[in-house]
Amino acid sequence: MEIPYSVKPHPVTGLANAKLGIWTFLASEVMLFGGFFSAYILLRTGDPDWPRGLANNGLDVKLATFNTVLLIASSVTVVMAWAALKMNDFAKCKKYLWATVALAAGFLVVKFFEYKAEIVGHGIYPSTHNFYGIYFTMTGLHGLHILGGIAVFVYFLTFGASMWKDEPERYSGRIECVGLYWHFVDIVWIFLFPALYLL
Amino acid sequence: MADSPEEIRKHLKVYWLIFGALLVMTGLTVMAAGLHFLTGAAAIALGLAIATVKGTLVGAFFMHLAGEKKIIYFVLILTAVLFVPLMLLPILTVNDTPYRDIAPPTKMIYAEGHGEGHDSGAAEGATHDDTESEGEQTGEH
Repeated sequence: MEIPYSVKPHPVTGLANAKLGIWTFLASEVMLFGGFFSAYILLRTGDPDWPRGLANNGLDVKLATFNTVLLIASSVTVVMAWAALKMNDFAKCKKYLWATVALAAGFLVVKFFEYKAEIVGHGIYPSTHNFYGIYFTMTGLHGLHILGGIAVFVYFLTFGASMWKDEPERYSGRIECVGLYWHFVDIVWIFLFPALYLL
Repeated sequence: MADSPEEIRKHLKVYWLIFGALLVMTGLTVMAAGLHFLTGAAAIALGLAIATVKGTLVGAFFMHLAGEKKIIYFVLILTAVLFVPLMLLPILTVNDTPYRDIAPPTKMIYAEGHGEGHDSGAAEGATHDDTESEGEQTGEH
């Protein structure tokens, strides 16, 4: 049986079901990260000893800035991959998607060395101070989202790639959906970066 | 939005422009924090303003929100309406401080000698302003 409205827009919503689905999921993700941002505000405003400002907390701003650039670049490669599909160029799409995976993996590698320097180098643990508690929680949750994104990209580049031959429109719809998720993960980092490293 | 190959080709240039704008703003926000030309609430406001502009650019252009179906806007407006109270929850927790039967934070006890006026001490501790301590820290630089 064919799944209805996987490509054609649903008459009520005007959208393919997957797209409404991913947006609803992202709305729930906003509330998930929102809860942590709310906790961050509570912890920060209630603590006179909160490490405010640049370089007051032992975190590596240079590495984090580099990571910000990596994530922004990966957002561009994702949207380029989608645009390539819309122009019927699957080879180009694959190149952009692999570039996205590489940038995302780069982000995680840099994050690993950051964690290592903090934990091994400075002896900082989540229990050291509430700041590091919320820092490890939020960046850890964000890192898990990066990992999830990589898994989905790799799936569409390997096992899931055959869909492009059979149902190209459905495939590009899926790439659009994972792209929307990826841009969301980018936006979360755009707010995490100043909140944890700069302000 | 129109998804014809010709239309998409026009978008490519916009995507690269947004990429450039995002990089410039990332540089700006790091520089602003490093130079300490703003302190306290103003520095936080600037940092959040730049992040908001960056997030809006990603949403509007990369996520194509600048021309989406109504139902997506509906979902997002509903999310925003629920998100705002979530951010304001920490403020609500300060409201009950005059009625709390707890000792003020230890720092306050030392500062005030005998910890007189539990109520005012607790309230002060809970609403300790970013501006004050940021001013102290930047003074050292």
